[in-house]
Amino acid sequence: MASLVDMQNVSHAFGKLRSDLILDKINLSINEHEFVGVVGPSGCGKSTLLRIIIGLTKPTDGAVYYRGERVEDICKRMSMVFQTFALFPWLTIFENIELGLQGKPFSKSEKRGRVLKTIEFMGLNGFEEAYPRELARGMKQRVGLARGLIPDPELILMDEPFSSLDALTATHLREEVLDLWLDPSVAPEAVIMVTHNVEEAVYMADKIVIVTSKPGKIAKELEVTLPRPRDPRSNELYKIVDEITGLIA
Amino acid sequence: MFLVDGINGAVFAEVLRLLIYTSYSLSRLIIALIISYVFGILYGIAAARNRRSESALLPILDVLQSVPILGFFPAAIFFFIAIFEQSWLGIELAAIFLIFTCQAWNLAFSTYESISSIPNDLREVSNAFHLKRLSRFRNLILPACVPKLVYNGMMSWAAGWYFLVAAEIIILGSTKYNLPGIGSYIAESVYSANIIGTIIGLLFLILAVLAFDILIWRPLRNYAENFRYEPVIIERTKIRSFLPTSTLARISSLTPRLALSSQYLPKRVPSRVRDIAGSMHYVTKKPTTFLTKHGRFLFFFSLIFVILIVIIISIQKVLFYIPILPRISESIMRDILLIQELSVIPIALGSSLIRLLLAYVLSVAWTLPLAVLIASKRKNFGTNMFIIQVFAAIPATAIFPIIILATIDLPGGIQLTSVILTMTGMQWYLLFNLIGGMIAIPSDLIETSNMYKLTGVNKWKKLILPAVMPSFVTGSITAWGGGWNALIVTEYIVFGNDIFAVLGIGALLDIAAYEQGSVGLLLLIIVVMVATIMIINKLIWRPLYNYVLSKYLME
Repeated sequence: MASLVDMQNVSHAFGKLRSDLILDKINLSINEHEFVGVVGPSGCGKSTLLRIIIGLTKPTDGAVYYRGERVEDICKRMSMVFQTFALFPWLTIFENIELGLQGKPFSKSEKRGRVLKTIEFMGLNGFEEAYPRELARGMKQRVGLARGLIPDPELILMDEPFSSLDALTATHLREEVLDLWLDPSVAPEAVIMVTHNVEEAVYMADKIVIVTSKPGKIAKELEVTLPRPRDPRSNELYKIVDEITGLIA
Repeated sequence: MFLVDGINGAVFAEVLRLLIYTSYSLSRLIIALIISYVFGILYGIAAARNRRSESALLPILDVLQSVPILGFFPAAIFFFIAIFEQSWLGIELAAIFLIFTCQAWNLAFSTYESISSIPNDLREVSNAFHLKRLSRFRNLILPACVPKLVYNGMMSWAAGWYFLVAAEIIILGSTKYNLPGIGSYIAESVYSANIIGTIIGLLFLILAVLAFDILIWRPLRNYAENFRYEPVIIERTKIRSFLPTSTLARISSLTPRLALSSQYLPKRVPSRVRDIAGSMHYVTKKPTTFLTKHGRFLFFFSLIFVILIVIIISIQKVLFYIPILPRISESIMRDILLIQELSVIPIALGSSLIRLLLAYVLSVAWTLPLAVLIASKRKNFGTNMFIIQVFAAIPATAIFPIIILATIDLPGGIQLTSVILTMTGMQWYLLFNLIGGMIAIPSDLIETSNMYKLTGVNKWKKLILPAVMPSFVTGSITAWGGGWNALIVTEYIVFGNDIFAVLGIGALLDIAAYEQGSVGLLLLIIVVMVATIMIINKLIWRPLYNYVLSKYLME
């Protein structure tokens, strides 16, 4: 398997002190066709890790390579989904999703067609002209996902995508994301999902990266070989969950 | 030898005089600011109490805010100077009162706004824990108000400096009272074309502004960061770390050391001093208790003491001098005759409106790009804010003659000059509000627009303009308020023996106050002005504010 992302000795700090160190010498490879879950206690630098991969944050030290090329600027072939949805309150749902096509060489009508198709696909019909504040949280994250998917990225980064949803909505949306992942016509090459929910990570991911805090270090990488579709309440799944929880705590 | 000594002596005396003047002005401003804070917080709390008090108190505040500082002249003169029989204390109190009138209102507004926007869960939890009165005030109300009170306090502070000259030179009929202070010093130097005096005066003023920013506002800004609601951890860490690392902000990292050193003070240092030094770091540290036990005692004791003295003196004076008052109001009869020739008021009002509009457009033209630039350079944010703070605090009124000389020969002449002078009363409100709005844009929206490479026109259209829209409108409202207030000093300037005046409602007000000394005329013009301001607020700003709030507010 060819590796998609390579992080080499990546460290990041917000200040000069030792206690300001967020990430300490991270080495990580993400392969094609891999759904990676990054778990760890809150404040361990998981979110910073994602932002460094996409190029939103420049690491203090070390380098990130995407298909062998060093990531210097924000990488165009990746896209990100936020815990807080990051929807522009003054733009309609249509305009919010259209933002994902910013700078793509499509004509106006082509863009419109693509946005409408994505809206249809994500089950957002009828909300085109609505504003984010009129939507329930689950629907907002659908818009976030639609905006993340529409540029047709090779890698999708998800930062706690289900954490601000209620349990029932989160369960539904998880299923939908997995359906997307298993549908070869729309699936990206790889997904990296940051979460503090270990069950969620084991249920969804092929590989789990466990990050410990202060400073953030990779404690272990773990392949999850359970066959899909997985049973979220099976004993096998919980055995892995317990192993990971033990490592974090 | 003697000559050199003489010069040295003179220079020394001058520097000493300036030091004393600066400290006089500072004391006036500080006392006025403290009174403004007390008033603002109490008024804001009262206004936010329930819907009925809100509908009663907010319009009053609207009116008070729109009355220019000269409008409070009759009140100041009648009350303080008459009561204190034109003694030094009366004039001093009048000056402090005048400064208060340009500092207090926005503090009351910001308290009201902060209290009304306390999240419901915090209200509920304090109800659940039965927080009552003082503990509710300390644990819920005050912390909720701290960020806005700090930023508005900075604006009030700057406004105080702006009107310092107007407050330190009080003219009562034919008598002119020059209070010793840096404002009157600079003004006198400029008016008598004393260049060295002007420069040294400005230098002292800038030093005072600098010192006050380093010692008070910067630690307070850091302190206020602890009271924000937003949960974005990454941004917070960034903001907190950049402030102390900028060279000028070292002081906040210095205070804990100061506290530590208080333990090693020599024995003979009184314990009170030790306590104050020991409690210094609370100003920059976590939001636990603000003052220590002793500090609190000292504070309340001196507050009660001052209030008692003021009450005793005023009661005594009021009782003694009430018979004087009718004599002053005789002049009102004379003014009624004057009013009949006042057909010029509407024309003056119209030209003032055009002047304000031009000054507003020009102010927006430079403050908006600068605010965006400053907000995007987070690394130097502390330093940049500081520089702006210094510029905003220079009492523009003191250097008006310089601006006049520099711009009078430009095409447009005195009309353009007056527009530029008016800008000095508007632009800072816009700039501060716009920067506040830019800083408050949630980091996830900025990251999203970076991710999708929003640039140029698209970035302005989809991110910047909508995001700053609420602060833009708030800034515009305050800028217009500031502009109306500034008209009295920008439409009519005495420069040596010359008077630079343009037709306008502010100039009319000056003529009424200074040349005619007629209270009736003064009141009539103020009523016209306040009515105009309120109509504009009602017809333009309120609807605009409501629309913007419903469309552009972050959730």
